[in-house]
Order: sequence, then C-alpha cells, then structure tokens
Amino acid sequence: MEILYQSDIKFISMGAMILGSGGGGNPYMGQLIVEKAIDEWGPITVYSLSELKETDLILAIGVMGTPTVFLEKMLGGQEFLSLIHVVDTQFGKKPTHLMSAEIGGVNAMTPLMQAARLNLPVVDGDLIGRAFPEIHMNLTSLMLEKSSPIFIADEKGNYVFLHCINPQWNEKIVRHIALAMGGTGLIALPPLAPQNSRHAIVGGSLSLAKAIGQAIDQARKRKEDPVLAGCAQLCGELIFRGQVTDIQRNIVNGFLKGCLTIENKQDRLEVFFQNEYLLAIKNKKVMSTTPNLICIVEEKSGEGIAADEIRFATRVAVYTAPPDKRWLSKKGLQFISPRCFGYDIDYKPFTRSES
Amino acid sequence: MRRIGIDVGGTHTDMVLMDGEKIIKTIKYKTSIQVSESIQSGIKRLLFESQENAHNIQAVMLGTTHFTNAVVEKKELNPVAIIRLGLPATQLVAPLTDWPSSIKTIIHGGTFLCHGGIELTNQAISLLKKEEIERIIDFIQEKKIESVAISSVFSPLNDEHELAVAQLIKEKLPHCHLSLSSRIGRLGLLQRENATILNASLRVLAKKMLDTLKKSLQHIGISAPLFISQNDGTLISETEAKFYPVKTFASGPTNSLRGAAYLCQLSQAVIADIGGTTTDIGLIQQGFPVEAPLETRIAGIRINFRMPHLLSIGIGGGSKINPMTAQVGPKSVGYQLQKKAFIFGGPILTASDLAVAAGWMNLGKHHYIKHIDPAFISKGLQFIQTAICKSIKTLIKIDGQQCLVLVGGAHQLLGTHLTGFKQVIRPKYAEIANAIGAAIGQVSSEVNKVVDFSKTPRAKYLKEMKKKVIDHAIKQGAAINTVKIVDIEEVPLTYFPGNSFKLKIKAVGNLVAIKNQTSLHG
Repeated sequence: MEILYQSDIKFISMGAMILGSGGGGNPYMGQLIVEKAIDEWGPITVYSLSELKETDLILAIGVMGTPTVFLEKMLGGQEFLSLIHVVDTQFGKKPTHLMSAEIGGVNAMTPLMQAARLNLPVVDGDLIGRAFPEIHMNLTSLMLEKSSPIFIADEKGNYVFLHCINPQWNEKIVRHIALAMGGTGLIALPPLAPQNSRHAIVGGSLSLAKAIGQAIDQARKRKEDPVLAGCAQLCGELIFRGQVTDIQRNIVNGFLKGCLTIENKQDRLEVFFQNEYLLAIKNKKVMSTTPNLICIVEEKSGEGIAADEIRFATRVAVYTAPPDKRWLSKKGLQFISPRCFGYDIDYKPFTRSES
Repeated sequence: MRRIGIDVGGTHTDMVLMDGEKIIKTIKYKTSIQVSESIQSGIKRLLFESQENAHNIQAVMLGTTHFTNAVVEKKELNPVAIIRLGLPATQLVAPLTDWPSSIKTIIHGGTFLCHGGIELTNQAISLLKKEEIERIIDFIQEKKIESVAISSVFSPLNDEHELAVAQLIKEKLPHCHLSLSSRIGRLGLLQRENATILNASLRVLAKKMLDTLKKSLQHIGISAPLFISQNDGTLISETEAKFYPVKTFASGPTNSLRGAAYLCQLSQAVIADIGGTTTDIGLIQQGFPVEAPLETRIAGIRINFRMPHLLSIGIGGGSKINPMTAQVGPKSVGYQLQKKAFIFGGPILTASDLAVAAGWMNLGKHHYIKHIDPAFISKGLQFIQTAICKSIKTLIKIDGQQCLVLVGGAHQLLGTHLTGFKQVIRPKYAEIANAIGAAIGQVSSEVNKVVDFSKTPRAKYLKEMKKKVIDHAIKQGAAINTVKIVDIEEVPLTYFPGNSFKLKIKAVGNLVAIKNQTSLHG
C-alpha cells in the first residue's frame, strides 16, 4: 500500500508522458486536476495487485476522444459519478478500486482525479503498459472472454451502457458516442474481479511511471543525462540523437497519422506514427516497431514529446523499450503489430545493440 | 515616413528617428520611474539634436516591457472578477490553478463558474443563465471591482456567449473594464483564461499609462498616432493596447531580434543581444523571430502566446568577474556600471572592464584597467565567448553557415573572430537595435478557424479566408501593396471525423500613417 501526495504527481506525469510513446494526450492537465484534488480531498491510497482481495471489483477508466476538446472542457466531475452509478446498477455492486485503463499519457492521471473524493483507492497498474490509439487495444481484449459491457459518460449527466459482440465493435461504436457527447467522454471497461483478471493487468505501471519521472528529475539535479536515466528505467535502448528536420501530419479516419524525420551529422531516423510512435527506421533499416515503446524525448530535459506537439528544430533523443510480454504472443501481435496499422513490416523484437 | 521608434527597457531607453529606411538620429539614456515624462524629455532631446520639428513626425512606435514588468514585479495590478462560462464542464480545474500564490492574492476579485460555453460541434454546452450573471454584477458593484475577465469554452471558434455576458455587464456597469478571452488567446482554456485574467489585471495601469503618454506627446506637439509593439513584432494602436496590454509582453525581445536582422539586411541569422546584465539569444528565419516551441510562461503563469524563442544567460556589460577564476556573471552591477566598474574608478571588476582592456570597447578611462594581466583578460573574454556559443548551440547547429549578429548596449563583449560562423557582424546602431525594431514594426491581422475539409472545399475556403485576412490588415493601417500572407498553419484535429483542421492565416504589411485613429474595439 502506498500513499500518493501532491509532490508525487509531477513525477507520474513525466513518466506517463514517456510511457505514452508519442500519444495518450499530454498528462499536464491531468496533473493539475490531481494536484487540486489532493489539495481539496487529501492524498490518494494506492494498492498493488497482490494486495487485492477476491471480493474486490476494479473499474479501469480513461478519457477518450479529441485532445483539443479535453484542453477546453477538461472534466466536470459528473462523469465519474455516472460510471460508478451505472456499474452499481448493472452489477449490483459498486467498484471497490479505480485503475487506469491506459498508463501512457493523460490516462495515468484519470483514476487519481476523483479517487480521494469518491473514497476509492487506486490499483497500481493498467491494462496496456503504454498507450495505443484504439480502445480495444488493451490486454483484456486478448486475455479475457468478455470485452463488454463498456460504459461512457459525459459531464452533462449522459451515460451509455454499451454491449458489443467483440472489442473492435466496442471501439467503433463508442468513438461515435464520444463525438456526440462533444468530443470527449469518460470510459470504463468491464469491471474486473481480481481472481479472473490478474493475468490481463499490467501490475506496477503507476509506480513505474513515478520512477521514470523521479529518475529524470534526479539526473537533472545531479547534472547527469536525463535521457539515459529515463531509458534505464524502462530497460530500454538509446537508438538516436539529433534534431527534428521534417514533420508530416494528417488526419486519417480521425487519427493523427504521419512521419517525422530526425537527423544528425551522420544519420537519419524516420519515425512513423498514428497518434503513438509505431515505427522507427534509421537509414532505411528498421530499428524498432510497435508494440515496443518508441520514446522521443527532449535532449536537454529528458522529457517526453508527443506526436501532436513535436516541433521542427527541436533537439531530441530517441529510445526504445520492450513492451509487456503479453503483447508479443501470437494473439497479441494480431492486435498491434505494424501490419495492424497498415505498415508492410513485421514486428521487430527488441534487442540490445552489440556496440 | 518620418517616425520615432522607442524602446523603454528596465535600465535604458533607446530612441531612433527614421525617415523611410534611413536612420537619422539615435539616443540612449537611463529610464526613469516616470515613464511618460521620461519619454517626453527623450523625444524633445531627439528632435532637438536632429533639428526636427514635432509636427513632421508621422508616427511614434513604442516597444515597452512596462506591462511585463508589472506582472513580474507584481506592481500596479488591479483585482479582477473572473467569469468562466462552461458548466457543467471544466469543474475539475478551477481558474487560477497553477498560479504563484503571491500574484493570486493580488488579482483575486472573485471567481465565478457559470453555465454557457460551446462544444466543438458549435452547439451550446449549456444555455447562459441570466440570473448567474446578475448575481455577479451585484457582487462586482458591491466590491467595487473595476475589471472583469470573461472566458468561455471554445470561444476562439464562437464568441457568442462571451459577447452576451459582456453586453449584460456593460448595461449595468458601463465603466467596468471587460476582457474577453476570444480576443486574447488561442485554443486551450486554461492558458487562454490565464492570459485574459492577466490582461484584465493590467487594464487600469494600461489606461493610465497610455492616456498620460498620449497627452505628453500632444503637449510637445506630436499629433501623430502612437503605436505599440506587440509580441510578434507587429504594431497595434494605442487604443488597442489600452484594451489588450497583454499583447505587448514579448515585444522587447521581438524588437531586438527584428531590429538586428534589419540592420544587417538578413532574413536568416542568430542574434545575440548583450545588455547590462543578460545576453538574450534568438533566431531569425525567413525574416521573423523563431517562436518558442513549447508553452510560454510569464511570472510562472502558463499562457500560450506566440513568443520568440529566446535563451537568456547571465552575461552582460555589468557582469561581475571572479578575480580568481575569471568566471563572468551571473551577478551584475547592472545600471550601476558608471559607479562601480573599474573603468569609472569603481571597485568592481566587470565584463566591460575586460572588453575595454582588450580594446574592443571604448568606455570610461583606460588607465584604470591597464594593470590587469593580459592572460586574465583573455581568460575572462574566452569565458564569455564559450558561454554564449554554448547557448547558441542549444538553439541551432553551428556549421559555418550561420551569421551571428551582435546587438545591445554591450555587444562589444564578443570579439568578431569567432570560429564556426560564416560571419560575425556588429552592425552600426547595434546598441539601439530594439528601438529600430519598434520603428520598423508592421501591421498584422490573423484569422483562426476550425474547418472540415471533407465538407468545405479547401482551395475555395483558403482563398476566401486569405482575402478576409488581407482586408483586415488594410483596415488596421497596412499599405495595400505591401500586405503579404506570412503564415498558413493547418493543424489536423485528432480523433475528429471528416478532415478537420485548425486553420490559422496571418497577413502582415507595412504601416501607412493614418490621420484619424478609430478604436477597433468598443
């Protein structure tokens, strides 16, 4: 069991940004919300997976939709109450714990936002271990029989209980509902009982996010390289340092798709993205692919930069890290290999370089 | 066109009299606390020294950090009633979140979350509730709050609600200063709201300062319009500056960058503005200052203004030198140079002393520093060079292709034999580059829209918007044949259907002197 205080939140935010692998939304707004919530409602209790009882019920939540809308509307608060209410009425039982559905990006913060106010502890973990663009891309789709029902709520008091035949249908339909709600909505995935779902949860990811942030901060204080400090926390591998020389972005089916080019004196790295960074190719050689994390960070600060915010001429470092092992199973790769995103390339397993 | 460019800095005020592209006269003097009087006497001196008549002046352009300083020093800010329209959304982040508490207490005049605000789809989040606004009006009246900040969700796309609330307040409290976020900031509620609140807190000061200044100018016979430099180096009328003081925040550094580029006739350069205490380094690309990539802050408050990307290091003419290590700065004697530096018979070894000893700068009395060991002088000057070059390298790769332009009062601290640059230039008039930047300020206009290109044909829409922007620039005072589109930015909107983009088009043109200045905003 751990208590999260206001001073911990900025580290989680930094770590979540890196685990977002280019997407997931900027956690800073989430950080402000959580810091304010702790101010008003007190610190947050976090439990590890191993501490949960068989009678507990975990509700994995996240914000879904257009980041532009989130930066204007943020959240009202009613969304959380609606989700808890609908779970209570549908399952005859209130959730006992909140958890992040997606640790990459702003959703690392989502369960922390109202946990103290609702008197609910948070589970140290999530359902992906990083960020991915579509909601069916989480471990429950792989590992559990049922991917429904899911729930979505808005600030006005609207909520929708959704039952679909498979996870891909969940994604298709719920995204339209989020648009109808104004562009964003708070989602809850099917409530999880620990004994049936431990194998579909990435335990310890909230602590990992905090550790990444703290390592970067410490490195900066000690005038050491914050890039390497962040990379080490992920047991990752540095693959490039250079300056951003070209960015191409486009909306395809509602997702931010494109390619950016980073160059240094000798080499050239191209990073392809669809919300998240999915493919890194150096001088035409494939260096890393989804589901490996591909993290682009600011050289000086070591902090992550998202695909929708990265700017021309920024000096960056790029590192890659292995994903949760479950994504590497045959079934896992069927969800999130490069071919799933339309790239004619196979998954490249993470390796350490010889040099 | 005969015009006067003025830069009022913290320590010095610089002025330049220009006629078209010709620089006729320049002066530099210490800024005094009474800004208007200071400017008035400066202009009198400038006109006298150039034997020029006040009536011949067709425009006065002022770049000032007065409003930035008011925020940074927390002086002369007025309390603000803060209205946010967006219930039931936005509640999890209150206004003034993330503000340093010292400034929060000064400007806090009540925070009100109300119904209203627009969705991205252009429907209302909720309807405005008149009774909510009426209760706020009673509060404002009772507490005698003079200024109100109104921010509505998605107001840059649809300002209906902000206008409606402004109208209600104006009817009951006609003298209340109103600041609407749709006129001030871009998308991103918190940062836009922050900028609007800051603007509202500067309204009383802005009115006082600019009204006084206008009177001082008229008093000495200048009937020409007064323009103020804004963040991007373009000009706004003094009337607009009275309503939007927050638009002038980054004008100082912007003017220094543009002035430097103008003096060298370069559209691409690295600029180092070496002042009394700091050196500010920036980049010019395609004739304009390169903007800061990440979010901008002022006094620790997040605002998402386009500001020039500047690096500031603690090296300037007044920087103290460590007599053992030859380390330069960051402590500085600042404006007390003439009292404290060796070259003026003072007790403190400063960077200027080293530059004079090396023969790079002509200031004070040489005999005060002739005893300094040449090896030490070398070491100190090398320290300055290394520090400045190191900072430049974090902004841009130095590979023999870049020109470095040195401006500012202490630009002689860097020699011109720097390796790595194609050219190092110390232009004539380098020490008043800021004032020149103000004098060459252009007029701009911008349009910001969200558009779905799957519904609206792109080519036709862009053509219409470009025309709209150009027409508006001309209305602001731009000469028709000088107006150019300088920026078209299309940012795709993630997770939105169709082919939706945030579109920004900006046009800029040279100023034509206008006789009758009408207020652009009520």
